[in-house]
Amino acid sequence: MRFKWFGLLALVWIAGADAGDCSLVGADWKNLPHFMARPDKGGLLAQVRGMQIVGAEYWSAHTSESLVLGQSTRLTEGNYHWLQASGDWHGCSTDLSTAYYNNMGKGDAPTEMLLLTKAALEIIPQPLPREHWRYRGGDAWSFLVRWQGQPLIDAGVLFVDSLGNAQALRSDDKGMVRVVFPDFMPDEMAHDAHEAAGHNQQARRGFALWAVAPDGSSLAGFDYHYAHNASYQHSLWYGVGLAVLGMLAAVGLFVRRKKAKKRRQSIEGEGA
Amino acid sequence: MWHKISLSRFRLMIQLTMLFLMVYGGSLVGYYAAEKISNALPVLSCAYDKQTGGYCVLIPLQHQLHHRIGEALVAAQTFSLNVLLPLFFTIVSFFAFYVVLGKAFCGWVCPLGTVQELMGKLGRRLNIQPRFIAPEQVGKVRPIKWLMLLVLVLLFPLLAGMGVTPHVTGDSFCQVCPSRILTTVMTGDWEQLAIATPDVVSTVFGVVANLLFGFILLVALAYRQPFCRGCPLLAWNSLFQRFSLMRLVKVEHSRCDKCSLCHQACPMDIPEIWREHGNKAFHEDCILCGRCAEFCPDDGVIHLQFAKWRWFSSARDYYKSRSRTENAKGELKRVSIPLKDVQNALKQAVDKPDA
Repeated sequence: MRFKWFGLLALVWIAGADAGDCSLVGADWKNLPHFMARPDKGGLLAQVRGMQIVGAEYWSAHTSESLVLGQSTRLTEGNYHWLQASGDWHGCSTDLSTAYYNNMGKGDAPTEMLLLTKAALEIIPQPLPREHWRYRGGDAWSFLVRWQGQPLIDAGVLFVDSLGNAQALRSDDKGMVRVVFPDFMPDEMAHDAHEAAGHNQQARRGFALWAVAPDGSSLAGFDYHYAHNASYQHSLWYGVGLAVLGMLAAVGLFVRRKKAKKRRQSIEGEGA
Repeated sequence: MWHKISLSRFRLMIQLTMLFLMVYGGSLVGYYAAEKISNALPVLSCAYDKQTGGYCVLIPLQHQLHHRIGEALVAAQTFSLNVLLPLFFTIVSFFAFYVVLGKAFCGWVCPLGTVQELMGKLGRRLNIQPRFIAPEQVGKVRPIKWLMLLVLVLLFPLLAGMGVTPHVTGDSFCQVCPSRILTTVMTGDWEQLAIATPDVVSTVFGVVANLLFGFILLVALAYRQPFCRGCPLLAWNSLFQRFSLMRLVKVEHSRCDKCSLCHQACPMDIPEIWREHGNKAFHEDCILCGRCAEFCPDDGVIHLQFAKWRWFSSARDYYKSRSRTENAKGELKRVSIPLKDVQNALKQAVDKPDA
């Protein structure tokens, strides 16, 4: 609830802060465009909904190629990929991006790929979650806001997610925005089975970060997903208790042996 | 070299370096680079660790069985090269590792092995009597590692891929692996210590893992390398040990029947190192720690060998110097200095400060 109120204020604040044709006034999860990417027939199937597409492209560690949306694309490299669609949203030039991990083989780190300038305005994860990791509720992660290849200082950034949460954020003097993902309970979305997916079958929610160019000429968004808090349906105290129980069992083994040895020695002594 | 530093001390330095690299290496080489190193040097740390490398060899093995073979079988595809190739590549990509390091991974690199050894050293310092598994009992323990490999690493992931067992069994061994908990807790991340309660299977895995973790950690104070004896990676490694360039070689010697010091020194309590020679002495349980060679009192009987290069050989002089501080069983020898001598030395120092 706190996030939702804060988000409403945020929309007003962002709209006021960035004068120009493009704005995020009235923008929320439902009316903003979204990027969907999933494995398909050994390749990648990417789709964008909610905006008119002009073109799409994807970057790997060493290559960049055009991306045909709605069709399976065979990726030539493994590991991390950056997908970007350019188009028009409510009359505003918009670049929407997402990241995609393909574990088909070995590939290079995405550091250079992420640092490469791919659009005038960009929101770039710093870093991306690795293969066996993910954004999660309660975790804090950093994103770089860049305008024409340079860090954009004190830029307004809007965080929205598919649960209706919203946050207004500002980039620091290095152009970095720190996002603390809201907690959510997977029970809240039990009806939303299509989102309860992922490698570890963890329930996940979509989120997006949006920013307006300083001159108001364009918008940029980064669309991805995050999982619920790590502590959900996990008990650390039971875990610690069981580990201690295991330790006690081990100690029991020494003590019993020690007593048995003493008993044996005393019997031997008596015998002698 | 071995006159200046003992093999055990040298190995400990390597182990501590590798422990640091495997647990905290991500901070050293960078967030993504850790994964690259992991690819270059497989079995670098645990995939459940957020910061360091991410490929214990057992991870891709379980994943291939789960996601490729199991899922392909259930989709009624033909059992084609398409399905088998990834598994083949997984094994081949690690083959170089087996050829070069072989069993030395267990004795020189494995973080859990190192921590168990450190706990054993602590046990000696705490005067906890070391325990040994008698030769007639060793045979009862040995099948555990094969069971772990067959059931937890191979069978359950395959069944999970086929949809027979729950998804969480897709990496069954990782679910009970004490190294997963140990290496993540060492980075200050307590998450893997928490018990998952969404379903019975996850909870059972969690209960077993935590009990095992606590038990192994403390039992290592008295029993040497307790988890190694049942580790599926030891079994997996032993499949390739005959191809490995790194090996243990024991030649026949007339006095071998008598002393059994090599057997006493062996942290895996392998009686074959004492009773056999040749291939039989390089047993499937061997972790190539080299203690048998260190505590063999005869020249050139036991060798640690890389290809044709015998880089460490048993020697009488080395044995004499090595056994001054520690006996073959790992018990520390106390060096007692009479109080009177200390008092005299202090008195002399006070009386003649320039002396």
